[in-house]
Amino acid sequence: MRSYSTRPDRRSPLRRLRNLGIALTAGAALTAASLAAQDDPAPEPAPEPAPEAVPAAPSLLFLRANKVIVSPGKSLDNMGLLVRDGRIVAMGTDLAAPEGVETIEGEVICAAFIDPWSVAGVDASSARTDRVDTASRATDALDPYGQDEVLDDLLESGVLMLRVEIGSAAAVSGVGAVIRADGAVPVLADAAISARLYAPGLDPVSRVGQVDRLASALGGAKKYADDVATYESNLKTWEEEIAKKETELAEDFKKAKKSRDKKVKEAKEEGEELKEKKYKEDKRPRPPKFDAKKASLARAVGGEVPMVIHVEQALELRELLRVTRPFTRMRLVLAGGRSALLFADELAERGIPVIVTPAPSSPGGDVGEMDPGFALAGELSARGVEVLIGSGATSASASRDLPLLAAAAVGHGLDEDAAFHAITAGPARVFDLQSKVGSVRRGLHADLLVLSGDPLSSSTRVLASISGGKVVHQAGN
Amino acid sequence: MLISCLIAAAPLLGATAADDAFALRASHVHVGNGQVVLDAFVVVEDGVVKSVSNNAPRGVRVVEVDGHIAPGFISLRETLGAGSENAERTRKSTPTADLSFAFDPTSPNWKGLVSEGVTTVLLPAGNSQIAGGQAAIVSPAAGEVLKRNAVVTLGLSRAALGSSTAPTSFAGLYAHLGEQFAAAPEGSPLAEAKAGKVPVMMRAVTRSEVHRALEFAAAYGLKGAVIGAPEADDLVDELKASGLAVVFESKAAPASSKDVVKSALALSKAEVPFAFTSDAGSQGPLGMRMQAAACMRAGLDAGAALRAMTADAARIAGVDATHGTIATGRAADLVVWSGPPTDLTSRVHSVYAGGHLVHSAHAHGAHQ
Repeated sequence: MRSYSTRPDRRSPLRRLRNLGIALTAGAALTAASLAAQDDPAPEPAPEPAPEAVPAAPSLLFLRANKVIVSPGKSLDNMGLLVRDGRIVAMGTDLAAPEGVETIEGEVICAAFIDPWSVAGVDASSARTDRVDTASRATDALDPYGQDEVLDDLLESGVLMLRVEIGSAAAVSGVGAVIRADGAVPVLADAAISARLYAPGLDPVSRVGQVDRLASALGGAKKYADDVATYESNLKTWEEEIAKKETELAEDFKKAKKSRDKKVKEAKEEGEELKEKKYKEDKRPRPPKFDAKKASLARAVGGEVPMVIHVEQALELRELLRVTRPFTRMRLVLAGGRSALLFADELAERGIPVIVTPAPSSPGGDVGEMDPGFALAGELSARGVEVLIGSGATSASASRDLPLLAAAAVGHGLDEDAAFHAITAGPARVFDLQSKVGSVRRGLHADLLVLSGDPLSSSTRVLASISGGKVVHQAGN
Repeated sequence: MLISCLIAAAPLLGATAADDAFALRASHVHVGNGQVVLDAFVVVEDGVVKSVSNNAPRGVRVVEVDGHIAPGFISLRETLGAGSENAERTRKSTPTADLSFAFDPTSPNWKGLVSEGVTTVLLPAGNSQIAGGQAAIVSPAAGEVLKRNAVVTLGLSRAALGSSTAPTSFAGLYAHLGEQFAAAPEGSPLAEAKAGKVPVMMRAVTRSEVHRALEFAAAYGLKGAVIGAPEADDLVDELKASGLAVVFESKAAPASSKDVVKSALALSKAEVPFAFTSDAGSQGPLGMRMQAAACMRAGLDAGAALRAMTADAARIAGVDATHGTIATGRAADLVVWSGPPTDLTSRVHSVYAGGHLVHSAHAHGAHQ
């Protein structure tokens, strides 16, 4: 069942233009009429199903644990949770299981792990391709059948949600999605736009050139967004004028008709045809030429969706931070960031989170002696940078190591609560899903884990995984 | 302060033997064989563990450590610091090769291993050789060879077959190996292996490769271990009957292998000893602990996970008399952890190799 949402349609000019663009690519002819009809509710060529579709029969599930981790660093003792139709509907110490309702008990209940940087659930060649652009969508590459084994492993390890991206060989790889591991079903189809400034083999000048190309693409997208906004504003003024004219015409209809009939008559007598202008058609504002790539990137520039950029080396990172300063509304997220410690203060100040993939330092590697190895997450966090932990999108099955990676980060200096945040509430916040998942609260989606101990401890077992209210894994089953 | 020094008893002035002696006191001492001694003193003298007890030793400096002490981990394959000097490329078999010559103590790669608590490493021949020589046991921290000619390494996987040079088939491989064993003069490495005096480490990956290796080992009376065998869970009975152990290899990505998790659980249940390697993985020296942690999250007991990285690994490498446990007479290869040593969330506070402090997080960690 595909019940997912995109971000709320704010009826923004860009959005309408985008919809129009899709209609065009779908083969609709561009006519003056269709342009004029733009203000009608935009026809959705690929209708998106209503979000939060409710299952036919109400399903109930009761969970109980000695400790419920509500959010990182905050827990409640001895709690019961009632899940109804995929949501947490009640929580309390004195809450008892309703009769006949399936009950799962454990030591700890916490939010399901979210891998903020993954390719699990995505068709393998789409994940690696370079044949994508800013407007390509990861939801088009989901492959729940080809990836079923990988996804089943994730349910066992408690990684129930993933932010996936495609086109790891492309500079800009389009719109990534947040999906549930259970069936690779999208939760948010437009989670982020992703790009990369990571080409280890390239010479420094070309590497800086990459950043500049990205900067001019962002600039182009911004210009496009401004042009669209200007057009919208002009169109509105023009429409108001037309409306005024219509009213005048209606009011003076008789007078006008008389005068027009007279003019027509005169013209006929003189053997001419009357050239008349009903409205000032020639002055109708013209929209900028629709550009799907720019429109997509403009959403990132405008801060509507976050922009995730994979960058490792200091050269690109410094340049990236410089060129993105003017884009004040853009929500930049770094991925990788092995040299990010050099810029920790600026990252903290600008509120740029970093998705770290804990890995050993390699003395001969990309960032050489500066490579902090496994200590990166802990040191960034200590300097006030928000750290997320991701499996790095190198292979689909890597996502199942997420809790191990977070634990390894703790073993190398990251605070335990920060590590838990890095794979639950953190990704939920950065990708605008905090009102749905990432913590345990009444009203939120029931994407939860029942554990035998603390979430990151190596001796803890995942007793049950609950994805959208559904028990998708139970230990021993 | 992670480590605080205090004088437990009046120092014996002029006691030369005691100059080298010290004791570590910790809330938990993991012996390595599954036993944990609470609130214990580990007394070290001349680089060797003198005693482990609950009683304060007299006349030695006591270092109070905040955490758990465990034996240094043993990786049963790590070739990163060998360049490719362990892999002879032109000959399939060099059974008398001494792989301690491939050990480069100056390689910077060893440092990372030590900081992750690995103090002993087995340096075998490359996977593409059939009888590649005799593995050495080395100490990456001390830069020393601990034992030469420790284990005979045999490559019995597809990686050992040539595409245009013989042998190109498993039939050819075993014919070649049989000839090597037949021709081995008395006292030579292969003859010693055949006599059961030196353990072997046979690399076999697929189930049929493992099956063939077990048959060969039975026919020639070989003792030791199979390295590889991710699907060992399908061959538990055969492995149990063979008396051989299993060494699981680290993986690239993901660091945890699901097959290995299943196999480790099955072997643990059947009491077939197993161990891990640290090389060939994307997680470097941590790969070994990550694989063990993956097994634990699937239900492997923490004690069994620790044994696999200490006591059992030492036994497989034939160095259990000197390494792998914290007991009287064993080398003082000790790691101080912030918590249980098998837990990935535990941090390495300090590492001692042969009684010397070789790594301290206090000196290295910028974030402390």
